[in-house]
Amino acid sequence: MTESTIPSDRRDSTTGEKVRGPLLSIQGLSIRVSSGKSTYRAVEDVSFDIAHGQSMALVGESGSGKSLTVQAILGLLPRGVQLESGRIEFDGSEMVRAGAKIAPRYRGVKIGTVFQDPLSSLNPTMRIGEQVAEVFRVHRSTRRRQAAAAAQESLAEVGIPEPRAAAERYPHELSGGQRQRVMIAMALALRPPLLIADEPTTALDLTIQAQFVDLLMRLRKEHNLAVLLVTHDLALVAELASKIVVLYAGHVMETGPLRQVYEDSHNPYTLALLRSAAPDATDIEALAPIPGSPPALTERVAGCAFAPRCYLATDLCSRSRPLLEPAGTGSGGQASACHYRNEIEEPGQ
Amino acid sequence: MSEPSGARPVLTVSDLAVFYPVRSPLLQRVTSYVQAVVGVSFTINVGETVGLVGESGCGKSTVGRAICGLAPVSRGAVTYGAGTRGHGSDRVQQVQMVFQDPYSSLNPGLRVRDIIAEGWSINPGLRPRAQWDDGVAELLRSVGLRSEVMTRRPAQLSGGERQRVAIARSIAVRPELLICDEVTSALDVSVKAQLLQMLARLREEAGLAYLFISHDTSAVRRLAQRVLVMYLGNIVESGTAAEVMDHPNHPYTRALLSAIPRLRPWETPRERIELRGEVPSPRDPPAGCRFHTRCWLARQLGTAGPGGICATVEPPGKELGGSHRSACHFADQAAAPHMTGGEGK
Repeated sequence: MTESTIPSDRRDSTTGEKVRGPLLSIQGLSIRVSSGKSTYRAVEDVSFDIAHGQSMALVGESGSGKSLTVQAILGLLPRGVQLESGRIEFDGSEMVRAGAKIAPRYRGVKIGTVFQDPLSSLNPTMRIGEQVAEVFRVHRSTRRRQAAAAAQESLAEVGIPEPRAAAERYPHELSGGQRQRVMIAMALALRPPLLIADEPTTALDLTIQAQFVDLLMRLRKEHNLAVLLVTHDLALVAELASKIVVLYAGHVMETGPLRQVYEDSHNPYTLALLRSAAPDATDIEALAPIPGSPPALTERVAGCAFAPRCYLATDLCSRSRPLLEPAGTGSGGQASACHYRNEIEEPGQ
Repeated sequence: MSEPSGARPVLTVSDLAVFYPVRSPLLQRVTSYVQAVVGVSFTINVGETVGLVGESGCGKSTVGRAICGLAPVSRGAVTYGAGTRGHGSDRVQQVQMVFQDPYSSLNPGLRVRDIIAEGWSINPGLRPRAQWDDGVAELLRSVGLRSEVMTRRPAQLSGGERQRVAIARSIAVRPELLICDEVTSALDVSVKAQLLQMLARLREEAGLAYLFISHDTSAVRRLAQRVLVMYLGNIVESGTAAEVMDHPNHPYTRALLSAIPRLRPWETPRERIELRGEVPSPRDPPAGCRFHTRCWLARQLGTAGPGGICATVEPPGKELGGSHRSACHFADQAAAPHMTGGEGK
């Protein structure tokens, strides 16, 4: 079923064994936004890797730079926003570099995308079947009839009932959950090894979201699909991802294996987020919310971006910015950008 | 957190129905009705928070709007306080509504001071003009904002700050009941937590009652003392927050709660109850129990087919002890341990 990707195998210098490089590698990404007279850095020195078949969560609140990071990966940065430095590699070859454009062959073919609002991502005047078939016709030059058949197959795979009839409908005739499935069908039509989902369930109801989670898990397993899941929902990613990158005000605050980070975080921001997110808690006093709100993009401070809201912050934090360094045992690549990363204790544990 | 005994109701909703006419495109004749809300009854007592949960299209927002007079009451009654039928301007004062989107619900041309004081200019008896500034500062403090915010305009505030201003505006006229329609849904995780705590504090200080309408079950679990669950225009389950959310009975509630993603799913294994299909249209709701077309329990019992009790008879609300009620023919079996939604999933 799965179309094999070109492996970016390298040989380990000591053992001589083949080591497979990451599928997607983000290196030192900085993004500058210019609006009117002011210009500011919205994303600074963000790096992470996604392995083949791995699912990674990029988590952050508003202004964290998570959506800009995704737009940079897809080469879709809006006017007035520049990739200042950094590079992005896909399966070992350079895909995006500051000052250069993304090679269009990646989008759709190598990377499928699902966005928050399926209604605005679908063409309202085109039947569902034609829109999915178009993917095959444009990228594969498939003939019309075969493309239509392939489209129905794609719709069936994402669990659209009666795909033949559904193909004849227009987007407005489908429910929100069905439209989201159509988006996934289009995103995965060409069997890309990577799916980027940006707030894919924000507009969906709980039971429909649960169906989306099940579908994504099944497709991942069947096609060894790697997923970059961008969201603010810490509980949703716990069901789906094995690795997490926590962004705050354009910086990586913490990263590592998801379960390890959730159980033994070494960053005050991650800890505070986890405490405000516990879905089954009943005690409103235990929420311990973070004071203040995430900084506007234009407010950038010299030290740690979280210092103004952090209960641990000292003079050092407002003067110097902590680097992302190994935290805890450091196993699995867990790292935290906090001067006090190894002195943090989760209260009540 | 049980119901306070001898409590005085601030709101009584009895057998409320909201129908919207559907007209034929050519002759504009009414051909059918969208039954947005059918047979909804509940009371809210002084200082009590009632959570109203359900998925989009279930009618929960319509209930809130009908209480405020923003949706037509087709049948039944909405009664405020000790029996005055809710019509006219007294309703404005007793019941206030706060909406989901703090961006579109505040007038962008006004300063925060004028937004909050607007209710006083409409009801001049409430507060003399000379005390407006003091009053606004006090209200801002009680929603956790500094008084300097007074001179700003909505565009200069963050989403969380705007929502606080919207709440300050609604409590300025000293209502007894605040209807909160998805007030935390547009906010960041960390800001949402602050707002929930602020609402809890305000409830203590001002003796406010809330109808907290939300699809965010975790926010409802934290804030509400009693919970109502809606599906397709009906209340399917009600009771204290602990009764409904820790020991759900109705097959819909059980499926809904099992769909909540968990922060640490590896800690407690849980069986997800999968709901198949889509919510039917409220224009043509299923006969019998409105949930039977998607009900996993009815399917297991074989009562959803033609002639089956679930497909033909509307279930009455069954008492389950305490204040817990579930509108299911098989309420006594629904929560039995061997009855789960797993169907070879």
